[in-house]
Amino acid sequence: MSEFSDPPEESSRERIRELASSMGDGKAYERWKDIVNQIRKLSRLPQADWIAQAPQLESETLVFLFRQTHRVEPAVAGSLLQELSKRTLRQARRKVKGLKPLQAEHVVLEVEENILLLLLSEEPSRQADFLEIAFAKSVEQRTLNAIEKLKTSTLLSRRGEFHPAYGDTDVTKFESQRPLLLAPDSRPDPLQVFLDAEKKERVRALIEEAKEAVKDPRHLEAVVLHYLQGWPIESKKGIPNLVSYFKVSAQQIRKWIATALNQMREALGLFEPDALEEVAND
Amino acid sequence: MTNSKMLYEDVLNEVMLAEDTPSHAALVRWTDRYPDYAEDLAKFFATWAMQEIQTREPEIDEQKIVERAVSRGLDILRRQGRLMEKAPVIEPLTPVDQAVLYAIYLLHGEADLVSVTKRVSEISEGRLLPGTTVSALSRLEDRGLIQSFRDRDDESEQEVRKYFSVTLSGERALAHAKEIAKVPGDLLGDLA
Repeated sequence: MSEFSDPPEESSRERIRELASSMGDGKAYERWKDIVNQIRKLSRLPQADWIAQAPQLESETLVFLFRQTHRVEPAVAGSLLQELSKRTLRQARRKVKGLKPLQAEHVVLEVEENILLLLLSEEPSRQADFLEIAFAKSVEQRTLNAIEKLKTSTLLSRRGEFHPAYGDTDVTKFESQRPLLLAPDSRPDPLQVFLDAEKKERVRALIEEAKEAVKDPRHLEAVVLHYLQGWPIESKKGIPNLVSYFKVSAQQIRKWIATALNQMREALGLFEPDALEEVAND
Repeated sequence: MTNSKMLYEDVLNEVMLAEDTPSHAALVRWTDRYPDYAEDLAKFFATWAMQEIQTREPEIDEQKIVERAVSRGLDILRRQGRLMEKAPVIEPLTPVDQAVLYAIYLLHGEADLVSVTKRVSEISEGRLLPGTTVSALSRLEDRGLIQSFRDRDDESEQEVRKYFSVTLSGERALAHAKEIAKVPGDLLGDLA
């Protein structure tokens, strides 16, 4: 038996096709009950109603209708495609914030293409089935993946869009900084960070406000991962940490973080102990 | 333990389904579950975390992107042979077929064999045999004027029935029938 949902038979549009895919733990993919009810209702209605109601339908319902439609008129297919494309774009837009317009457009186009190919694929796959249980999540995932690819693309790296030149750290500059900033805790307590939500939100707001002041994106990334997401600088083998992620020494990471904190403090006009420093104490 | 059948993209889908934020704790959980993808997962979580702090929404030409996606999608459907190149030529329908088609149109979502037969009998003021309805339904479906969907009965939730609905071509055929007055105008009501 196939691991994935079989493509629909040309001759029938009969019953709601079961999703045959399953999660890694073996749990079967299952549509939400409200989606199943909507599919049942729509499948009995004239195609003109599909077109009229498309903007109000759940995305997963649209995917179902689209995937199981054969020998369809362009007006029906075009209408469903248009609605799904708009939703893909809307969802992707939320994740491409901060990119330059051309980069954002590149990412969104790639995501649109990926979703389209899955929708139209005649080969059964877990990813195509996933569109029928969590369309928006699939778009989010694909958008983040496309951004990651863009970050590492040779072309943009050369242009310095995402990765300005390495090795620009002036070590002597840090020696004059307060020791506190030179030695952020290498193992923040994730539990404490999570429990102190208010403080975290304050720090997030400060980082959002001052992030443009950080000259090297890697420095900012180190700060965000360390302070907002709880990544340790170093850790025992097998636990993700900043040293293995950036492939530089712990000392280098600390310098990056100190640089970023200083640049942000300067941008915010903070000369007294502040929230950023408080976080560094954690 | 890594499930060897799980592609990286499949794992990411599950991540997105299960996690609201790209926290380190979540990353550890997924790395533990899929150690083969540890490095890729770290990069994905890092990208996600960085996008979370971004606030400036870039300008995007939405119309251009949507138009392009629709056009490309239709092209692929055409190549796959799933798209009707032209609307089917409207050929004359027999009075019975017209009445059945119109009954389905009127029943709007509730058109199974029994209700269609009943409705045709009502609007034609004569008794239609279910066998006649079955033949008409088969012809209409073959011509792409109706489509069918098998579903559980709303009341019994047990019995499976076949429901029929009118396609766009079917609506055009009805409009055409009214235009050429092959059936009495009042039979087709206020159909466009």
